[in-house]
Amino acid sequence: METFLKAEGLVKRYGHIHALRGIDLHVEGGESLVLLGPNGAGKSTLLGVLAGRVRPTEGKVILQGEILGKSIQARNQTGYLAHSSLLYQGLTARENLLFYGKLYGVKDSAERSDEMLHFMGLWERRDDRIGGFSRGMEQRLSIARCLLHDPQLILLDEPFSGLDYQSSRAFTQALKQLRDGRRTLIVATHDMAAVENLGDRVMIMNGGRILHQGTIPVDSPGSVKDLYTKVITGGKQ
Amino acid sequence: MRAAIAIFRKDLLLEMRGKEIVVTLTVFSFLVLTVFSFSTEPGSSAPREMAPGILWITFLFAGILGLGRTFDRERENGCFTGLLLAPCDRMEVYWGKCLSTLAFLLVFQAILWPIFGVLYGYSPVKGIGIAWAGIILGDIGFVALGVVLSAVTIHARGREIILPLLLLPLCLPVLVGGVRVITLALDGGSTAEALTWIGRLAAFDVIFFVLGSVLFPLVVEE
Repeated sequence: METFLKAEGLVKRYGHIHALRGIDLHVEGGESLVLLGPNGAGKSTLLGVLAGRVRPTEGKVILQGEILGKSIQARNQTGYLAHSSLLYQGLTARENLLFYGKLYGVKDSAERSDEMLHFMGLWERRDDRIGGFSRGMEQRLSIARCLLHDPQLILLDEPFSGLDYQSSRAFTQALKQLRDGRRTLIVATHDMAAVENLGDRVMIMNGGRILHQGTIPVDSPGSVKDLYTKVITGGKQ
Repeated sequence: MRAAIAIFRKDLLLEMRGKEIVVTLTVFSFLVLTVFSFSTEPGSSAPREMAPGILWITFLFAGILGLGRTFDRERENGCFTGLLLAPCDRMEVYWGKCLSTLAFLLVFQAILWPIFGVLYGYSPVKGIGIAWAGIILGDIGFVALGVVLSAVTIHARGREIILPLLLLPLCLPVLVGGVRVITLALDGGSTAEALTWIGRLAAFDVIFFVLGSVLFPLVVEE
């Protein structure tokens, strides 16, 4: 069977800075992969390449047989939650979703927007401009934007950053619902506690390289953190 | 055209709500035209002779201000990335931004036109057809170039300086053509000559727009 998402020899250079140094990646449909790594490891760049936002210097990404970057269809299959919300401060929550619905060619975008507002618990605030939203609410609306066109591949870049404990928990619950076996999730995060809830597989990166790939250890609480420390420090602590 | 229309409508909605761009451009241009009108001796014919040039220089600088404001909205919260991720040809993003910027320019120019007539002693209806053909075609050329260069400089430090430095020299054909058409329209010059300049402006528009459509998807890639 064809691999859902395949990256081959991805290299990304910004001048003399090597953000990615030969990344090979295989992700099956319905799988959840968590990317871990220190700041500057290349996680965001990798997600940017997978989203079609960043053009790799070398290598290619193939999503369901289509080479990403050249294929509009492949972009239609991808939902990307970036560091920034990608939402317009001057528009209301509903107007933002309606705009992205039209931009993405979503059929019945009004109905779909309302459905997403309910799903993310923002229905009561639908007619408020997002300039007045808290970080947590803006992040929930971001995920609604990301899911609006019902993508098969969902890329989440630091989805918990700036969220308080309560918002983070609510957000984790929303993300767990996305793990329905139909969608493929790739999440870059620093939040070790959330990893066990979010992923089937973990990939640890540093310096633009993959240092470890494997299933998420669930032997005991803190197993992920132990694995991370061991991989990043090379066993020297 | 789906994505282009969505972007155009979104920009209009944001502008109708804030009226930030049109008001800023109108006030800026009004001030420039007023200051220029008082810059020569009372009773002198100089302001009237220089009026078409002053008008187009005002349009160009106000247009740069407008481009900056339009793209500021896209930079906020990384919205420009959101546009580029859309499953459409990126040319459509370019067309959408061109349409909305053009609309903002035309609205503020329509407000400014009678004020210009009063300040510089021209009838606002004399030669209006030819004058506005020149303004619209000049705007199209300006916007076609301006949107590409604004996208290039969107994340650049010192973009307020870099954009005019890149854009103004390239806009010289628009400036020359626009000034000639306005001069001929307002002073009752030869219609045939005015139409020749209008034709040249249209040719520039086609070149700039085709170039813009081809270059935009390339320059926005990270």
